[in-house]
Amino acid sequence: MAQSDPMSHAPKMLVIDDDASILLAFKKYFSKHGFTVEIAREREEAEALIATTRYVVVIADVRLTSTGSREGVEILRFIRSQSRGTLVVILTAHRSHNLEAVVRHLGANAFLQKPAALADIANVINSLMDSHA
Amino acid sequence: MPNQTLLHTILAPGGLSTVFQPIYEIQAGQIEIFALEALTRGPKLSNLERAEVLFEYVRRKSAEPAVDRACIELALREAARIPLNVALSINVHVATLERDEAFDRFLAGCCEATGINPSRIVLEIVEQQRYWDATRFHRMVRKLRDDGVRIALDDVGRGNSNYRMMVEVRPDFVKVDRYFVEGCDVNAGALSAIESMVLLATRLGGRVIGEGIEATAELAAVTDLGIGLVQGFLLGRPRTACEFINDAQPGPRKFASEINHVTHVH
Repeated sequence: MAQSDPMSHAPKMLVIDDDASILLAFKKYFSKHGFTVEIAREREEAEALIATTRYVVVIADVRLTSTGSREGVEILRFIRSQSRGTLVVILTAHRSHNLEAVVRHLGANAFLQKPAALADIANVINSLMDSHA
Repeated sequence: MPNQTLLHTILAPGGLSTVFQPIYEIQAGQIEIFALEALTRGPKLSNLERAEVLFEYVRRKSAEPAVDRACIELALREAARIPLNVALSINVHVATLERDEAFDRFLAGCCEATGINPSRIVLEIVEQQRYWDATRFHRMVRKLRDDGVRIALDDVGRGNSNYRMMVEVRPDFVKVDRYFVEGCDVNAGALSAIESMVLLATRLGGRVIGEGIEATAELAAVTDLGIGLVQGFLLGRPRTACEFINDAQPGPRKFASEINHVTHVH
C-alpha cells in the first residue's frame, strides 16, 4: 500500500461516486492506508478537482446519476486529456464486455465490478502503483 | 435531497463568502490602499471552498452568470460595511458579460442598494476564453462604462488573457498574471514580458497592477518597471469585512521600511 507520510506528502486519491456511504467507506479505508483521499459526487465537481489537483489515483463509478448516462467514462476521457500519469480505476455495477473494451481503450488502468471488497480494490491499486513506479 | 447539486448549495443563502485583498498604490515612497479586491470562497468544508475549484465547477456547469451575480451581490453588501472609500475590484466572467443581458442593470441595482457609487467599481474580467459573441460582450462593456464602472483584465499573459483582449477592451487596469511576477527579479524573460505589458497598457491608456507579490525583490523589480499598483501576500493577505472593520488602520505599515527601501534605493 502507499507509504503513509504524516507531513502530507501522501499520494492523492480522488473517489467519485454518487453514493455518500460508499464515498465515506473509501475515504476511511484508503486514508488509513496512506492516501490523502478526496471525494466527489458530481461529474463537474470531479472534473474541477482534476483540473486543479494532481492525483495519483482516481476511482470512478461509471454511473453518477439515475439517468443511465456514463459520466464516469466522460471523467476518464477528461483525465486522459489532462494527464497520462494518473492511475484510473473504473467501477461499475453493470459490467459488460463492450463497456470494459471502451474504458480500457480510453485508458483506464483497471475495470472492476461492484460490489468489490475494498481490500481487493486496494490490491489492484497497489499492483498498479508498483508497476508504474 | 437526492437531486441537490453543489450548484444549489453555492446559490443558497450562506453558500458563498467573501474576503477582500488590498491593492496598494506606491508613489514617491508612500503606500496607500488603492482598492479592495473581493475574492469569493465556496461552501465551507466542501471541495468548492477553494476558489479555483469553485470556478472550475461553475464554468463546467455553465453557471457563470448566476454565480457571478451571487458573488457580486454578496461582495457589495460586505464591502459596504468597510469604512474605506476606495475602489472595489470584483471578478466577472466573460461569459456573464456576454450572456447576461441585464447585468448592467443588476450591478446598478446592487450599487443603489448598498450605497456604493458605481465609479468605485472595477470589474475584473476573468477567464477570457474566446468569446462567441463579440458584439454582445462589447455592448455590455460599453454600458457598464457609461454607468461609470471601470474595467480591468485579470491574469493577463496567461491562456486567452491576451493582447487581443487588451487592444479591443482598452482596459483601465491590466493585472499581470502571477506567473510572470513570481521570481521576476531573477528571471529576465518574465521581466521582459511584464515590461511589454506595461508598455502596451500605458499606450492604451491603462494602468498595470502587479499581483501575487510575495517577496521584496519582486516588489522592487515591478516598481522599477514603473508599476505603481501592487497586490500580494507580502503587502496584505485577504481578510473578511469584519477584520477590516476591526482594524482601523489596515495596510502594510509593518512593511513601510521595506517599501521605502524599494522605492528609494532603485
